[in-house]
Amino acid sequence: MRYFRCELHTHTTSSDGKMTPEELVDRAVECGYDAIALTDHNTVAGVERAVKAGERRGLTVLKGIEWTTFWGHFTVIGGGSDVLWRDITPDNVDAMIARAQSKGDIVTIAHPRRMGYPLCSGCHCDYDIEKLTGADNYEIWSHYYPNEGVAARQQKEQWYSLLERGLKITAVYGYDWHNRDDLPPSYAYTYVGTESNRAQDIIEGLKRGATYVTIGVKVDCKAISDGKEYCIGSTLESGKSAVFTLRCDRIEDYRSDKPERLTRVEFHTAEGVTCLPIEFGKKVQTEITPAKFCVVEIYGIRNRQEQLLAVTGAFYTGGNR
Amino acid sequence: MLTLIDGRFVLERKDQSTHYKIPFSVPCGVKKLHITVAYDPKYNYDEEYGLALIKESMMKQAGEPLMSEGEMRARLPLDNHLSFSLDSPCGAVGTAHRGNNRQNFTISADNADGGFYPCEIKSGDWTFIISVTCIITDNITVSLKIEAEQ
Repeated sequence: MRYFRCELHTHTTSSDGKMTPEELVDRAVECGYDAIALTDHNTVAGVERAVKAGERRGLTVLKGIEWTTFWGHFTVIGGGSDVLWRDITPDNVDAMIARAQSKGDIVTIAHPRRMGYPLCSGCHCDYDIEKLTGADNYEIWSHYYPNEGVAARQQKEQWYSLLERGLKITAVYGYDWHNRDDLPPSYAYTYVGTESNRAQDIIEGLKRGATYVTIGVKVDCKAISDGKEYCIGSTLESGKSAVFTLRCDRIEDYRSDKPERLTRVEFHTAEGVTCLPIEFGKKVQTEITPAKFCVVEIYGIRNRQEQLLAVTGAFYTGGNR
Repeated sequence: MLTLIDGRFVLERKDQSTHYKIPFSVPCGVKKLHITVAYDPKYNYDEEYGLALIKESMMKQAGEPLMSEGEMRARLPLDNHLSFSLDSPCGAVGTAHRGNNRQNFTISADNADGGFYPCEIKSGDWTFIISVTCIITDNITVSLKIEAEQ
Protein backbone atom coordinates (compact mmCIF):
# COMPACT_ATOMS: atom_id res chain seq x y z
CA MET A 1 0.00 0.00 0.00
CA ARG A 2 1.11 3.58 -0.62
CA TYR A 3 -0.47 6.99 -0.23
CA PHE A 4 -1.82 8.78 -3.30
CA ARG A 5 -2.35 12.51 -3.63
CA CYS A 6 -6.04 13.12 -4.23
CA GLU A 7 -8.40 16.03 -4.51
CA LEU A 8 -11.93 14.94 -3.76
CA HIS A 9 -13.84 18.22 -4.15
CA THR A 10 -13.62 20.07 -7.49
CA HIS A 11 -15.84 22.10 -9.81
CA THR A 12 -15.92 22.98 -13.49
CA THR A 13 -17.90 25.16 -15.88
CA SER A 14 -20.65 22.54 -15.66
CA SER A 15 -21.49 24.36 -12.43
CA ASP A 16 -19.77 27.45 -11.03
CA GLY A 17 -16.14 26.48 -11.66
CA LYS A 18 -13.96 28.55 -13.97
CA MET A 19 -12.18 25.63 -15.68
CA THR A 20 -13.69 23.27 -18.24
CA PRO A 21 -13.45 19.58 -17.30
CA GLU A 22 -10.43 19.27 -19.61
CA GLU A 23 -8.74 22.32 -18.08
CA LEU A 24 -9.32 20.97 -14.59
CA VAL A 25 -7.70 17.68 -15.55
CA ASP A 26 -4.72 19.44 -17.17
CA ARG A 27 -4.28 21.58 -14.06
CA ALA A 28 -4.54 18.58 -11.73
CA VAL A 29 -1.83 16.80 -13.75
CA GLU A 30 0.39 19.91 -13.53
CA CYS A 31 -0.19 19.97 -9.77
CA GLY A 32 0.90 16.36 -9.32
CA TYR A 33 -2.35 14.74 -8.28
CA ASP A 34 -2.74 10.98 -8.63
CA ALA A 35 -6.54 11.20 -8.63
CA ILE A 36 -9.30 13.78 -8.46
CA ALA A 37 -13.04 13.54 -8.05
CA LEU A 38 -15.23 15.88 -10.07
CA THR A 39 -18.03 17.03 -7.78
CA ASP A 40 -19.94 19.77 -9.58
CA HIS A 41 -22.92 21.28 -7.82
CA ASN A 42 -25.98 19.10 -8.41
CA THR A 43 -24.90 17.88 -11.83
CA VAL A 44 -22.71 15.19 -13.38
CA ALA A 45 -22.80 16.88 -16.80
CA GLY A 46 -19.01 17.34 -16.89
CA VAL A 47 -18.03 13.94 -15.53
CA GLU A 48 -17.64 11.95 -18.74
CA ARG A 49 -15.54 14.69 -20.33
CA ALA A 50 -13.32 14.79 -17.25
CA VAL A 51 -12.96 11.00 -17.14
CA LYS A 52 -12.00 10.92 -20.83
CA ALA A 53 -9.55 13.79 -20.39
CA GLY A 54 -8.09 11.94 -17.41
CA GLU A 55 -7.63 8.80 -19.51
CA ARG A 56 -5.74 10.85 -22.10
CA ARG A 57 -3.53 12.49 -19.45
CA GLY A 58 -3.03 9.49 -17.15
CA LEU A 59 -5.02 11.00 -14.27
CA THR A 60 -7.69 9.05 -12.43
CA VAL A 61 -10.95 10.98 -12.34
CA LEU A 62 -13.55 9.68 -9.91
CA LYS A 63 -17.16 10.29 -10.84
CA GLY A 64 -18.91 12.51 -8.35
CA ILE A 65 -21.38 15.25 -7.55
CA GLU A 66 -21.83 17.74 -4.76
CA TRP A 67 -25.32 17.60 -3.36
CA THR A 68 -25.77 21.31 -2.88
CA THR A 69 -28.89 21.40 -0.75
CA PHE A 70 -30.33 24.36 1.10
CA TRP A 71 -29.28 22.89 4.45
CA GLY A 72 -25.83 21.49 3.73
CA HIS A 73 -23.46 20.17 1.07
CA PHE A 74 -22.16 16.64 0.54
CA THR A 75 -19.70 15.35 -2.00
CA VAL A 76 -20.79 11.95 -3.28
CA ILE A 77 -18.14 9.97 -5.09
CA GLY A 78 -18.38 6.80 -7.11
CA GLY A 79 -21.00 7.57 -9.74
CA GLY A 80 -23.47 4.88 -8.66
CA SER A 81 -25.99 6.99 -6.80
CA ASP A 82 -29.41 7.79 -8.25
CA VAL A 83 -30.34 10.29 -5.53
CA LEU A 84 -31.76 13.55 -6.87
CA TRP A 85 -30.47 16.44 -4.78
CA ARG A 86 -33.84 18.17 -4.72
CA ASP A 87 -35.34 15.18 -2.91
CA ILE A 88 -33.01 15.56 0.08
CA THR A 89 -34.57 17.17 3.14
CA PRO A 90 -33.63 17.48 6.82
CA ASP A 91 -36.03 14.60 7.51
CA ASN A 92 -34.64 12.10 5.00
CA VAL A 93 -30.97 13.04 4.65
CA ASP A 94 -29.83 9.96 6.56
CA ALA A 95 -31.80 7.68 4.25
CA MET A 96 -30.43 9.47 1.18
CA ILE A 97 -26.86 9.03 2.42
CA ALA A 98 -27.53 5.33 3.00
CA ARG A 99 -29.11 5.01 -0.44
CA ALA A 100 -26.04 6.51 -2.13
CA GLN A 101 -23.78 4.21 -0.10
CA SER A 102 -25.88 1.20 -1.07
CA LYS A 103 -24.89 1.94 -4.68
CA GLY A 104 -21.21 1.89 -3.70
CA ASP A 105 -20.75 5.65 -3.35
CA ILE A 106 -18.80 7.50 -0.68
CA VAL A 107 -20.52 10.40 1.06
CA THR A 108 -18.53 13.26 2.58
CA ILE A 109 -19.91 16.05 4.75
CA ALA A 110 -18.49 19.11 3.01
CA HIS A 111 -17.20 22.25 4.79
CA PRO A 112 -19.75 21.78 7.59
CA ARG A 113 -18.83 24.81 9.67
CA ARG A 114 -18.23 27.31 6.87
CA MET A 115 -20.42 30.42 6.84
CA GLY A 116 -23.69 29.68 5.08
CA TYR A 117 -26.64 32.00 4.35
CA PRO A 118 -26.51 34.80 3.27
CA LEU A 119 -22.94 34.43 1.94
CA CYS A 120 -23.06 30.86 0.72
CA SER A 121 -26.41 29.21 1.38
CA GLY A 122 -26.04 25.59 2.39
CA CYS A 123 -22.27 25.90 2.91
CA HIS A 124 -22.92 25.70 6.63
CA CYS A 125 -24.32 22.33 7.59
CA ASP A 126 -27.68 22.95 9.24
CA TYR A 127 -28.67 19.28 9.29
CA ASP A 128 -29.00 17.57 12.63
CA ILE A 129 -25.61 15.89 13.09
CA GLU A 130 -27.47 12.82 14.39
CA LYS A 131 -28.79 12.36 10.86
CA LEU A 132 -25.29 12.45 9.40
CA THR A 133 -23.50 9.88 11.51
CA GLY A 134 -23.64 7.37 8.64
CA ALA A 135 -21.52 9.57 6.35
CA ASP A 136 -18.16 8.09 5.31
CA ASN A 137 -16.00 11.20 5.44
CA TYR A 138 -15.84 14.58 7.09
CA GLU A 139 -14.03 17.58 5.61
CA ILE A 140 -12.06 18.68 8.64
CA TRP A 141 -10.22 21.11 6.39
CA SER A 142 -11.59 23.04 3.45
CA HIS A 143 -10.64 25.44 0.66
CA TYR A 144 -8.03 28.16 1.24
CA TYR A 145 -6.19 28.61 4.56
CA PRO A 146 -7.61 25.26 5.67
CA ASN A 147 -5.89 25.09 9.07
CA GLU A 148 -6.83 28.63 10.10
CA GLY A 149 -9.87 30.30 11.60
CA VAL A 150 -12.93 29.42 13.61
CA ALA A 151 -14.56 27.15 11.01
CA ALA A 152 -11.44 24.93 10.83
CA ARG A 153 -11.30 24.70 14.62
CA GLN A 154 -15.00 23.90 14.91
CA GLN A 155 -14.78 21.26 12.17
CA LYS A 156 -11.91 19.50 13.90
CA GLU A 157 -13.77 19.66 17.21
CA GLN A 158 -16.93 18.23 15.69
CA TRP A 159 -14.98 15.43 13.98
CA TYR A 160 -13.32 14.54 17.28
CA SER A 161 -16.71 14.54 19.00
CA LEU A 162 -17.93 11.98 16.45
CA LEU A 163 -14.84 9.82 17.06
CA GLU A 164 -15.37 10.08 20.81
CA ARG A 165 -18.83 8.63 20.30
CA GLY A 166 -17.20 5.59 18.74
CA LEU A 167 -18.12 6.44 15.15
CA LYS A 168 -15.84 5.70 12.26
CA ILE A 169 -15.68 8.74 10.04
CA THR A 170 -12.72 9.56 7.85
CA ALA A 171 -10.91 12.90 7.82
CA VAL A 172 -10.49 14.49 4.41
CA TYR A 173 -9.65 17.88 2.97
CA GLY A 174 -11.76 19.54 0.27
CA TYR A 175 -10.00 22.10 -1.92
CA ASP A 176 -13.43 23.06 -3.27
CA TRP A 177 -11.44 23.83 -6.39
CA HIS A 178 -13.19 26.42 -8.57
CA ASN A 179 -10.33 28.46 -10.05
CA ARG A 180 -7.07 27.74 -11.82
CA ASP A 181 -5.06 29.12 -8.91
CA ASP A 182 -1.71 29.68 -10.61
CA LEU A 183 -0.42 31.14 -7.36
CA PRO A 184 -2.57 29.33 -4.84
CA PRO A 185 -3.18 30.64 -1.37
CA SER A 186 -2.56 28.21 1.47
CA TYR A 187 -4.24 24.89 0.68
CA ALA A 188 -3.89 21.21 1.60
CA TYR A 189 -3.89 17.73 0.10
CA THR A 190 -5.77 14.59 1.03
CA TYR A 191 -3.58 11.52 0.72
CA VAL A 192 -5.38 8.19 0.42
CA GLY A 193 -3.63 4.93 1.28
CA THR A 194 -4.47 2.15 -1.13
CA GLU A 195 -3.06 -0.31 -3.66
CA SER A 196 -3.11 1.88 -6.77
CA ASN A 197 -4.60 5.10 -8.07
CA ARG A 198 -7.28 3.25 -10.00
CA ALA A 199 -10.70 4.70 -9.19
CA GLN A 200 -11.94 1.62 -7.38
CA ASP A 201 -8.79 1.39 -5.27
CA ILE A 202 -9.05 5.05 -4.22
CA ILE A 203 -12.66 4.43 -3.22
CA GLU A 204 -11.62 1.32 -1.28
CA GLY A 205 -8.88 3.32 0.46
CA LEU A 206 -11.42 5.95 1.46
CA LYS A 207 -13.81 3.29 2.71
CA ARG A 208 -11.00 1.87 4.83
CA GLY A 209 -10.33 5.36 6.21
CA ALA A 210 -6.66 5.36 5.19
CA THR A 211 -6.20 9.10 4.81
CA TYR A 212 -4.30 12.08 6.02
CA VAL A 213 -4.67 15.77 5.25
CA THR A 214 -1.58 17.89 4.97
CA ILE A 215 -0.02 21.22 4.19
CA GLY A 216 3.33 20.33 2.69
CA VAL A 217 4.17 17.35 4.94
CA LYS A 218 4.41 13.76 3.74
CA VAL A 219 3.30 11.42 6.50
CA ASP A 220 4.26 7.80 7.06
CA CYS A 221 2.41 6.51 10.11
CA LYS A 222 1.68 3.01 11.30
CA ALA A 223 0.94 1.12 14.48
CA ILE A 224 2.25 -2.28 15.55
CA SER A 225 0.32 -4.29 18.09
CA ASP A 226 0.88 -7.95 18.97
CA GLY A 227 3.33 -8.20 16.08
CA LYS A 228 0.70 -7.06 13.57
CA GLU A 229 1.04 -3.87 11.52
CA TYR A 230 -1.90 -1.48 11.21
CA CYS A 231 -2.30 1.47 8.84
CA ILE A 232 -4.39 4.59 9.35
CA GLY A 233 -8.08 3.69 9.38
CA SER A 234 -7.44 0.21 10.80
CA THR A 235 -9.16 -1.12 13.88
CA LEU A 236 -6.78 -2.22 16.62
CA GLU A 237 -7.70 -4.72 19.27
CA SER A 238 -9.40 -2.91 22.11
CA GLY A 239 -7.41 -2.48 25.31
CA LYS A 240 -4.08 -3.52 23.80
CA SER A 241 -1.11 -1.22 23.48
CA ALA A 242 0.42 -0.38 20.14
CA VAL A 243 3.72 1.14 19.10
CA PHE A 244 3.00 4.08 16.82
CA THR A 245 5.76 4.98 14.38
CA LEU A 246 5.77 8.23 12.48
CA ARG A 247 8.12 9.77 9.96
CA CYS A 248 7.45 13.04 8.14
CA ASP A 249 9.14 14.41 5.05
CA ARG A 250 8.70 17.52 2.97
CA ILE A 251 6.36 17.57 0.01
CA GLU A 252 8.75 19.32 -2.33
CA ASP A 253 6.19 20.32 -4.96
CA TYR A 254 3.70 21.85 -2.50
CA ARG A 255 2.91 25.10 -4.33
CA SER A 256 2.11 27.53 -1.51
CA ASP A 257 4.29 28.59 1.44
CA LYS A 258 6.20 25.54 2.62
CA PRO A 259 6.70 24.51 6.23
CA GLU A 260 10.12 25.57 7.49
CA ARG A 261 10.50 22.90 10.17
CA LEU A 262 8.47 20.59 12.34
CA THR A 263 8.07 21.11 16.06
CA ARG A 264 5.88 18.47 17.67
CA VAL A 265 3.53 15.60 17.11
CA GLU A 266 0.43 14.94 19.17
CA PHE A 267 -1.18 11.51 19.47
CA HIS A 268 -4.83 12.15 20.40
CA THR A 269 -7.04 9.50 21.95
CA ALA A 270 -10.40 9.79 23.71
CA GLU A 271 -8.53 9.88 27.01
CA GLY A 272 -5.72 12.29 26.36
CA VAL A 273 -2.82 13.52 24.29
CA THR A 274 0.78 12.31 24.04
CA CYS A 275 3.10 15.01 22.76
CA LEU A 276 6.60 14.43 21.34
CA PRO A 277 9.15 16.53 19.45
CA ILE A 278 9.59 15.77 15.76
CA GLU A 279 11.88 16.75 12.89
CA PHE A 280 11.66 16.20 9.16
CA GLY A 281 13.20 12.89 8.12
CA LYS A 282 13.50 11.45 11.64
CA LYS A 283 11.41 8.66 13.03
CA VAL A 284 9.28 9.15 16.16
CA GLN A 285 8.00 6.20 18.12
CA THR A 286 5.70 5.90 21.12
CA GLU A 287 3.65 3.22 22.80
CA ILE A 288 -0.01 4.03 23.40
CA THR A 289 -3.07 2.10 24.41
CA PRO A 290 -5.63 3.98 22.37
CA ALA A 291 -8.98 4.69 23.94
CA LYS A 292 -11.55 4.48 21.12
CA PHE A 293 -9.20 6.05 18.57
CA CYS A 294 -5.80 7.56 17.93
CA VAL A 295 -5.35 10.57 15.65
CA VAL A 296 -1.95 12.04 14.89
CA GLU A 297 -1.56 15.81 14.60
CA ILE A 298 1.72 17.23 13.29
CA TYR A 299 2.77 20.80 14.03
CA GLY A 300 5.53 22.92 12.58
CA ILE A 301 6.72 26.40 11.72
CA ARG A 302 5.33 27.96 8.58
CA ASN A 303 5.27 31.66 7.78
CA ARG A 304 7.15 32.14 11.07
CA GLN A 305 4.24 30.75 13.09
CA GLU A 306 3.61 27.38 14.65
CA GLN A 307 0.73 25.77 12.78
CA LEU A 308 -1.08 22.48 12.57
CA LEU A 309 0.32 21.04 9.34
CA ALA A 310 -1.11 17.54 9.07
CA VAL A 311 -3.82 15.40 10.63
CA THR A 312 -4.17 11.68 10.08
CA GLY A 313 -7.40 9.80 9.84
CA ALA A 314 -8.08 7.79 12.97
CA PHE A 315 -6.79 4.42 14.08
CA TYR A 316 -9.82 2.87 15.79
CA THR A 317 -10.33 0.44 18.61
CA GLY A 318 -14.00 -0.23 18.02
CA GLY A 319 -17.07 1.55 16.80
CA ASN A 320 -19.45 1.07 13.99
CA ARG A 321 -20.10 2.43 10.54
CA MET B 1 -39.17 28.41 -33.32
CA LEU B 2 -42.15 27.66 -31.10
CA THR B 3 -42.44 29.55 -27.83
CA LEU B 4 -43.43 27.21 -25.00
CA ILE B 5 -43.09 29.67 -22.13
CA ASP B 6 -42.53 33.41 -22.09
CA GLY B 7 -43.31 34.64 -18.62
CA ARG B 8 -42.30 36.52 -15.50
CA PHE B 9 -42.39 34.98 -12.06
CA VAL B 10 -42.01 36.82 -8.77
CA LEU B 11 -40.27 35.19 -5.82
CA GLU B 12 -40.52 36.54 -2.30
CA ARG B 13 -38.47 36.15 0.86
CA LYS B 14 -40.81 33.43 2.06
CA ASP B 15 -39.68 31.36 -0.94
CA GLN B 16 -36.14 31.00 0.49
CA SER B 17 -35.07 27.33 0.40
CA THR B 18 -37.96 26.21 -1.78
CA HIS B 19 -38.30 24.87 -5.32
CA TYR B 20 -40.62 26.91 -7.54
CA LYS B 21 -41.98 24.65 -10.30
CA ILE B 22 -43.09 25.87 -13.72
CA PRO B 23 -44.76 23.12 -15.77
CA PHE B 24 -44.87 23.27 -19.56
CA SER B 25 -45.83 20.96 -22.42
CA VAL B 26 -43.57 19.93 -25.26
CA PRO B 27 -45.31 18.94 -28.52
CA CYS B 28 -44.20 16.12 -30.82
CA GLY B 29 -41.29 16.61 -33.19
CA VAL B 30 -39.13 18.94 -31.08
CA LYS B 31 -35.37 18.48 -31.58
CA LYS B 32 -33.99 21.19 -29.35
CA LEU B 33 -34.97 23.38 -26.39
CA HIS B 34 -33.59 26.90 -25.96
CA ILE B 35 -33.93 28.33 -22.47
CA THR B 36 -33.28 31.97 -21.62
CA VAL B 37 -33.56 32.92 -17.97
CA ALA B 38 -32.78 36.16 -16.16
CA TYR B 39 -33.50 37.47 -12.70
CA ASP B 40 -33.34 40.84 -11.01
CA PRO B 41 -32.20 42.32 -8.79
CA LYS B 42 -28.95 40.43 -8.37
CA TYR B 43 -27.60 42.56 -5.53
CA ASN B 44 -28.83 44.24 -2.38
CA TYR B 45 -26.72 47.40 -2.06
CA ASP B 46 -27.93 48.26 1.45
CA GLU B 47 -24.62 47.80 3.28
CA GLU B 48 -25.98 48.21 6.78
CA TYR B 49 -28.68 45.63 6.15
CA GLY B 50 -26.09 43.28 4.62
CA LEU B 51 -23.70 43.67 7.51
CA ALA B 52 -26.43 43.12 10.08
CA LEU B 53 -27.68 40.00 8.27
CA ILE B 54 -24.17 38.52 8.06
CA LYS B 55 -23.57 39.16 11.77
CA GLU B 56 -26.90 37.71 12.82
CA SER B 57 -26.47 34.60 10.62
CA MET B 58 -22.86 34.12 11.69
CA MET B 59 -23.73 34.10 15.38
CA LYS B 60 -26.67 31.78 14.76
CA GLN B 61 -24.53 29.34 12.77
CA ALA B 62 -21.17 29.47 14.54
CA GLY B 63 -21.99 30.97 17.91
CA GLU B 64 -18.90 33.16 17.62
CA PRO B 65 -17.42 35.55 15.03
CA LEU B 66 -16.19 33.72 11.94
CA MET B 67 -14.78 36.85 10.36
CA SER B 68 -13.79 40.38 11.14
CA GLU B 69 -15.90 43.43 10.29
CA GLY B 70 -13.48 44.17 7.43
CA GLU B 71 -13.87 40.65 6.04
CA MET B 72 -17.64 41.00 6.30
CA ARG B 73 -17.62 44.31 4.44
CA ALA B 74 -15.45 42.74 1.72
CA ARG B 75 -18.29 40.29 1.06
CA LEU B 76 -20.79 43.07 0.31
CA PRO B 77 -23.00 43.64 -1.55
CA LEU B 78 -24.98 40.50 -0.76
CA ASP B 79 -26.47 38.79 -3.75
CA ASN B 80 -29.45 36.67 -4.66
CA HIS B 81 -28.71 33.19 -5.96
CA LEU B 82 -31.05 30.93 -7.91
CA SER B 83 -30.42 27.47 -9.36
CA PHE B 84 -32.32 26.11 -12.35
CA SER B 85 -33.28 22.53 -13.06
CA LEU B 86 -35.24 20.77 -15.73
CA ASP B 87 -37.33 17.59 -15.53
CA SER B 88 -38.45 15.77 -18.69
CA PRO B 89 -41.16 13.09 -18.85
CA CYS B 90 -38.26 10.63 -18.34
CA GLY B 91 -36.74 12.30 -15.28
CA ALA B 92 -34.13 14.89 -14.28
CA VAL B 93 -32.20 16.62 -17.08
CA GLY B 94 -29.70 18.33 -14.82
CA THR B 95 -29.19 21.52 -12.85
CA ALA B 96 -27.50 24.83 -13.57
CA HIS B 97 -25.87 26.12 -10.39
CA ARG B 98 -23.85 29.28 -10.88
CA GLY B 99 -23.98 32.90 -9.85
CA ASN B 100 -24.91 34.67 -13.09
CA ASN B 101 -28.36 36.21 -13.23
CA ARG B 102 -28.44 35.94 -17.04
CA GLN B 103 -28.16 32.40 -18.40
CA ASN B 104 -28.94 30.60 -21.68
CA PHE B 105 -29.12 26.88 -22.22
CA THR B 106 -29.65 24.63 -25.21
CA ILE B 107 -30.65 21.00 -24.80
CA SER B 108 -30.91 18.35 -27.50
CA ALA B 109 -30.21 14.65 -27.91
CA ASP B 110 -26.63 15.40 -28.99
CA ASN B 111 -25.66 18.32 -26.81
CA ALA B 112 -26.49 20.29 -23.71
CA ASP B 113 -24.72 22.96 -21.74
CA GLY B 114 -24.64 24.72 -18.40
CA GLY B 115 -25.06 21.62 -16.22
CA PHE B 116 -27.81 19.93 -18.26
CA TYR B 117 -27.58 16.53 -19.93
CA PRO B 118 -28.13 15.76 -23.59
CA CYS B 119 -31.52 14.10 -23.96
CA GLU B 120 -34.14 13.41 -26.55
CA ILE B 121 -36.79 16.14 -26.36
CA LYS B 122 -39.76 13.90 -25.78
CA SER B 123 -43.27 15.23 -26.09
CA GLY B 124 -45.23 15.53 -22.88
CA ASP B 125 -45.07 17.26 -19.53
CA TRP B 126 -41.85 18.99 -18.59
CA THR B 127 -41.02 21.15 -15.56
CA PHE B 128 -38.60 24.03 -15.15
CA ILE B 129 -37.60 24.37 -11.52
CA ILE B 130 -36.24 27.49 -9.84
CA SER B 131 -34.46 26.63 -6.60
CA VAL B 132 -34.29 29.61 -4.31
CA THR B 133 -30.82 29.20 -2.85
CA CYS B 134 -30.58 32.71 -1.47
CA ILE B 135 -32.96 35.66 -1.50
CA ILE B 136 -31.79 38.83 0.24
CA THR B 137 -34.14 41.34 -1.43
CA ASP B 138 -37.88 41.69 -0.93
CA ASN B 139 -38.58 40.18 -4.34
CA ILE B 140 -36.82 38.58 -7.27
CA THR B 141 -38.42 38.82 -10.69
CA VAL B 142 -37.49 35.94 -12.96
CA SER B 143 -37.97 36.18 -16.74
CA LEU B 144 -38.12 32.82 -18.44
CA LYS B 145 -38.41 32.01 -22.11
CA ILE B 146 -38.40 28.43 -23.37
CA GLU B 147 -38.45 27.89 -27.11
CA ALA B 148 -38.71 24.66 -29.07
CA GLU B 149 -36.82 24.06 -32.30
CA GLN B 150 -38.50 21.49 -34.54
